[in-house]
Amino acid sequence: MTMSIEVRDLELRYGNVTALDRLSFRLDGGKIHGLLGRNGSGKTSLLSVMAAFRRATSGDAWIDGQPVFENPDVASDICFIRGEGDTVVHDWPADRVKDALAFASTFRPAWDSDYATALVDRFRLPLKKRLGQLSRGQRSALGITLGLASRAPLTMFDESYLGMDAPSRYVFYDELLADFMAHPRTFVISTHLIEEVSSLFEEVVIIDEGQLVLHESAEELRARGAAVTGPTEQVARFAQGLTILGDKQLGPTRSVMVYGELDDGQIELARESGLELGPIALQDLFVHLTESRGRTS
Amino acid sequence: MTPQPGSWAIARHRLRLDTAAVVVLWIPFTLVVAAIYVLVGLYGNLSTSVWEQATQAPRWFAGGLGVYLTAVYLPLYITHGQTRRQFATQMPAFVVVLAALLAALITIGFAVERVVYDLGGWLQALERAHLFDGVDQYPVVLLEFWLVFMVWIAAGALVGAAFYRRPGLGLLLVPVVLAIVAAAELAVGTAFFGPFPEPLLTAAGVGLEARPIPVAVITCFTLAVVTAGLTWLVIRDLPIRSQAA
Repeated sequence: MTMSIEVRDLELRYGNVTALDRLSFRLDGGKIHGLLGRNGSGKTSLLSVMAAFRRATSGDAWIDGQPVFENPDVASDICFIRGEGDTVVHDWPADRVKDALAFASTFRPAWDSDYATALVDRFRLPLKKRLGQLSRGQRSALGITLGLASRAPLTMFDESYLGMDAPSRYVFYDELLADFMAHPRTFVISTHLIEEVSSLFEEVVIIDEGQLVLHESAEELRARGAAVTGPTEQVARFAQGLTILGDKQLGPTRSVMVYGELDDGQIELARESGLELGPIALQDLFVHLTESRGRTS
Repeated sequence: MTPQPGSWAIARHRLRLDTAAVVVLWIPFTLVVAAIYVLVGLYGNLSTSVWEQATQAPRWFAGGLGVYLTAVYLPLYITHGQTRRQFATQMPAFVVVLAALLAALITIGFAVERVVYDLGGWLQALERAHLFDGVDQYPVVLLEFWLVFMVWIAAGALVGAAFYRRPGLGLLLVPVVLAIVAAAELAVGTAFFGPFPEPLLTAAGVGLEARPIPVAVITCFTLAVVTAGLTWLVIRDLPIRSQAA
């Protein structure tokens, strides 16, 4: 079961600060969406409104055509894991890992206990340990376990890797993809580790200063530029006049990230010059798009 | 949509957890009271009900539980897919049942104390005015403490919600909730003044005396309903706080 999400003219203000500025977009169900933005761009605020953690100042978020805020028909279908997850940390004496799982199992209608147990094993989480005694990485792993095992039709993760080491983060990505294939649903993942996760994204939303910068399929986004690799001289000649986002030199070989879709003539020229064309790194595009926006604004 | 958790999921969840917590905490509480009996018996004279004095602690426990309901559990329920309205509609039923459980334990305490005092030949005199004249009026004992605990839990929930929403609002409401519980206590005739100095009450003609049962029932229910209404105003669009980094 999957759910589509739509936000229309969404505005969220904290006093005089505008966190979301008339944001509108629609995310199809059954996909993994990446939500990217710089610090303070409004990602967490946006996800908080989409999960009914906050009421929008104006506009609303809609899940499968139903408003989200205070709607019991869709509330338990949405699982939003912020950072390390919101769980029973202050619920002494029932504040152990096993209590967090028990709490979620009571309120998550599609909760899969066997899968939760498997994730606990994969992340090596100590079931009897108090949440306050877990390391930050373990807390994050618990948040991920709560999010994935909820099997909520709309599951959102916001920086849910804090403190996790690289092997644990890769366990997260593997599990997310495997479980998405086995139980298709809608995921929204907000992250700063773009290169690590970008291969999972089918669609990407970039926001900045509370406004939509772009919403495209990851494929289209990557086609907005190219990585050009080859002998230094030829690469320099080819890249002349193009916008260069990144530049690496390894011995006689140079690799540049150019922004802008290449036309057939340029592709042919690259082939004749013995240059290799590859997809551009999403992270470089993200940096370019948000930096140039910052300069123009 | 996925089938939703059963109706009254929050109330049933709280009842399961808090009933167990009350029973577990009641054991050390009664042990402490028993130790007081022994100390007073050894070094003083058991001429009044110790249990009557001991009922102060469960009042504060009930208030604290109310604080926890809104300041800790409400955000947890929302982050686990429940709505504020579901919480607000299920909590009154839960509070009524939990207050009844606490009142029943208090009543049992009075009954046990009566047996012990009878065996020892001591006088189980009451120091304050109550809805009941003697502790053997068990239904009235139960009623009085049920009313009192209901208001204490509701008042705790109001101030807990206010502190979660904005600490300044919580501070602002502290005198209000003290006034609410003081009014409930005055309605049943006991002596918790809250922010009101006794001379002020005397000047206003509010004596610490037993009042008619219907007056106490109507007053306490009105206070509980008004407090629940104020709590709803605080939580109806409560934002879930960002986590500390």
